Amino acid sequence: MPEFRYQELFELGPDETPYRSLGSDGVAATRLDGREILKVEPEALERLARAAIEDVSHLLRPGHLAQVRKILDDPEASRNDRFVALELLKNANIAAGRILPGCQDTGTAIVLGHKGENVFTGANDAEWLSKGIYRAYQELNLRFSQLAPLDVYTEKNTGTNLPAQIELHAEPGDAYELLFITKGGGSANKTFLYQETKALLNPESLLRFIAEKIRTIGTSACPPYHLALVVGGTSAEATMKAVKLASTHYLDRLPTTGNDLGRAFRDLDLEGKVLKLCNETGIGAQFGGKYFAHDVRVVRLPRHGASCPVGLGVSCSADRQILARIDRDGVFLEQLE
Amino acid sequence: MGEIRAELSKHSVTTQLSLTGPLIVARDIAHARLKERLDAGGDLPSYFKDHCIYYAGPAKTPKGLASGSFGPTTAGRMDSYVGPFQERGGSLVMLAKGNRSRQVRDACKKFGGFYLGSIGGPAARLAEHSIKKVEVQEFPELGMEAIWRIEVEDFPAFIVVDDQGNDFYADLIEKPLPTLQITP
Repeated sequence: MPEFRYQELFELGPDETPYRSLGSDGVAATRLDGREILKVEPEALERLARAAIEDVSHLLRPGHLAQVRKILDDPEASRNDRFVALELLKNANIAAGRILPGCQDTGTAIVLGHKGENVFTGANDAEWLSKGIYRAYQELNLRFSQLAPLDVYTEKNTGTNLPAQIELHAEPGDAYELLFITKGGGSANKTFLYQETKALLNPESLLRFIAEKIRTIGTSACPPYHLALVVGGTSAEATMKAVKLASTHYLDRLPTTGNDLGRAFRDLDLEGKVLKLCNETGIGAQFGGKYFAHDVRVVRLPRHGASCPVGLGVSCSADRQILARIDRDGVFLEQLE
Repeated sequence: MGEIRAELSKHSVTTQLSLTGPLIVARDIAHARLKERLDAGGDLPSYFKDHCIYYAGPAKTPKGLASGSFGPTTAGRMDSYVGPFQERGGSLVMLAKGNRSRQVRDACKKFGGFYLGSIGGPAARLAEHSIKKVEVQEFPELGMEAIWRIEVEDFPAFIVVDDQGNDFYADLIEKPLPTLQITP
């Protein structure tokens, strides 16, 4: 009989994200019961959220920009691929001025936080993060896109872009790690769950399935895409959450092999094959060509024997996510450009 | 509108265009409201018949600029309105992003309409380079989903669906899958 061994589902390797410092105001160390405690004033969370939304609405990851730029030099890119890529680069340049956001759909604000149990804020973190998000949408030239239902059919724009989607986890440690995403409607709508079976799990069936499904994404979510495919999952919602995280490249540091405890892993071989399928659609960067996708992430998860959820999703040309971290050295935000 | 359509008729699907002039901007809620009017026995407003319809909802206009970021929204969500509106002389030329369903191709062929594809994504570039004036036309209470009237100059677009039943994406997205080579 196998012994008990705890397996972290997502074993992420070391974080090599470049961060910029927002200072250490509101962060102080103290001791309690022999433990080092990090006290974080809730105002620091508010300021962090405000800054995260501003940066993510106007800037992009250098890696993403490099991928757009590379289209211009690729002899296999179509004329339209290059035209779109050039417009996207000009757009990024303008948006970096922090006056006009890169996309008019400034999205739904989404926060995923992992709070070490030695971090004390003494407050309702979701409320203070919401306040920072609120300030960003009030003070910047963003857009209010959230509709509150008054009854089943009657709606009203909330006028603040709240509510945000905030999910906070408690775990061991003394750091507070956050991921902010502002997800637009176009790309959110191209997120799909397929309830499949074991019969799909062979190379030919799976690739044929993927080739068919990626075409249904079409051009509505502004390719070139960062495509995310998740095969398996302990539940439908687990699969879909993994799709979202994979599309932000949050799961890039997963191992590349599985184990008999069911850890999640990235399959690099399938990523290459699916990218080739994307190139071959001919859909390109919206008007025909090669660049339907910049890259693909494939994550394989454990599953109940009777279920095989498969998730597909994208991050679009407004590739908006930003990591953040609070630890004894202060408050840090991913460096975008 | 007649002149615009006559000009578009001369060119095939995939032709790249540069648009200059007025556009009426409307998206989800406005389309639903106009449909309610039709269902209640009313008609589309004349501005909706005289001008091209751009599906979009803008971000805030920065102080001192003519327009905020203002790229296209997904055309597919408005597909069900195209037939009914074109029948009444509206939505004959539409501008948005993304591929659309068969019903749009059929309506454009039946009523002589066009769907022009704008590049999805470069909203700031459009604001800075192509959009010269933005004002509310109707439904101000809808915020970004109001019907707007805008003036554009050198706004890039492609003919995606024409009045002959052609669709830029039909071959790409609807054609049967190629034989897959599965290399071990």
